[in-house]
Amino acid sequence: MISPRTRGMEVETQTHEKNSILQTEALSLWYGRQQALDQISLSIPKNRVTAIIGPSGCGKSTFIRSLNRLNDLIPSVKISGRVLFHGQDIYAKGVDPVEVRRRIGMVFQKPNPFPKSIYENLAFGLRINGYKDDLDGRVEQALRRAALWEEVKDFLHKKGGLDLSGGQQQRLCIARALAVEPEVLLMDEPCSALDPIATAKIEDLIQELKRDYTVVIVTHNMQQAARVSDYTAFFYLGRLIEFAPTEKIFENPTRKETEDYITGKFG
Amino acid sequence: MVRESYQQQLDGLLEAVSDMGRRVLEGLHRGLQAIRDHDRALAESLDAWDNTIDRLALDLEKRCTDLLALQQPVAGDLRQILSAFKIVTDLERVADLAVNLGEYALVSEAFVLVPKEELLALGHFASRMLEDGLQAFRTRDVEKAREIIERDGEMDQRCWDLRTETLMGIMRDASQAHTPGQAQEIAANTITVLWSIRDLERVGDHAVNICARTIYWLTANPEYI
Repeated sequence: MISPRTRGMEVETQTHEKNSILQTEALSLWYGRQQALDQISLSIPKNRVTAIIGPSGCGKSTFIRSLNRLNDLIPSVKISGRVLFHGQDIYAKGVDPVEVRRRIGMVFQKPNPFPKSIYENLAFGLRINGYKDDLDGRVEQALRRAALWEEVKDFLHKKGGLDLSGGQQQRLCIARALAVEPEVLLMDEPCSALDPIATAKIEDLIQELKRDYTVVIVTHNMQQAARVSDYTAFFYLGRLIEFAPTEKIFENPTRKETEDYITGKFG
Repeated sequence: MVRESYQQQLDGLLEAVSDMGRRVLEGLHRGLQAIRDHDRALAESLDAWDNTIDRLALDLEKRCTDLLALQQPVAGDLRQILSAFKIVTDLERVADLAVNLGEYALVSEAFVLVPKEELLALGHFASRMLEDGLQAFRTRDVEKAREIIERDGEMDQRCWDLRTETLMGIMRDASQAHTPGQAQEIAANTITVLWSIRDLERVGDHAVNICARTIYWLTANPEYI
């Protein structure tokens, strides 16, 4: 998957933002003998939306799954380098991956609500994370933050998560992730299964969310990356090719590979 | 290469704008020729020609807006389309100036105030700037575009010199006017010559705009815009 490293390739990995909440340092990842990420060093700024773009198989999803240790669940995965969250390596010994995933939540491509009531979709995660007080209030707050409360408040216990429309299901999943009060929300192509109206709602929601959360979004939709993100990272063949403010990437990228990809000359 | 038809449309836009440029350049030459030969028929033919240029400009603007709306271009592609859109406007304005030159040619004896050859030389300097600017655009030549922008200083100086010479001419001729009719004719001639100098200066400015947009397209540097 990865060809020999090109020497002398300088990649900007920092932003001008003062607060970085997550950093990767020379993060490499292998599935068995196949390398999927090659020394990714990236600083993700706090309370900003960072988009990860690149052609299929470039390591985007692998990368964000590494940011909350979801790849731990795949036995053949081997990782080197570090992922620092508030300066602490999340792969260090003694770090509880469940706690990592609570603080760094994830929303997936296909909405995956539990086959339970809307209320239970949120309350379940709250209970197993030890929240006992004011579950009703927490459920309401999370649904409000995900811009879903007004649409579901009258049948929280009567309707199941799977009874909702695709767009509503995805916002339910976002609410479920938000209920346990994470700091970072990772979104792996959250709109790819949604229609344009549901997509627009999620994009508006992402803009709201960045006030309180840091968002990292993987998307195949370049216009979506341009619309919603503050920073964009372009990955290709497991490497970080360019990382810059989104307007720079889409108006005047530094590297030819980035320009060729975003203008559709390859991919 | 993916999106081949899109790339073909971008290349086609470049060719179409260049082709419009060639036509506008022909019209500019006709305007200058009408002055040189005091050719009424040639001057009057420019009106109909200008209508075709206006239609062409509209057609090219539509091609640009279609590309923007349907292809959602970014980076160099976006700058190319935006530059083409602006260059079309510059070319349409040059066509209007060529029509003006035709109209000035109809003013009898206007160009006795300055040697006609000097005005035509100024016209050729301006049309050369436009021709070279269009070539820089078509061949994606940033260095050439920069060189043409630098020529504009000489263009402006030449215009200033000819303007001064025209004023000297009017002072000389006005002293020899014996009747109000003669004075009126001298005034009309002077205004016509000054307008033609101004219009040729503006042709140079439009050539500079084309070069500035070419540089912006190819380098993202907006400093000359």
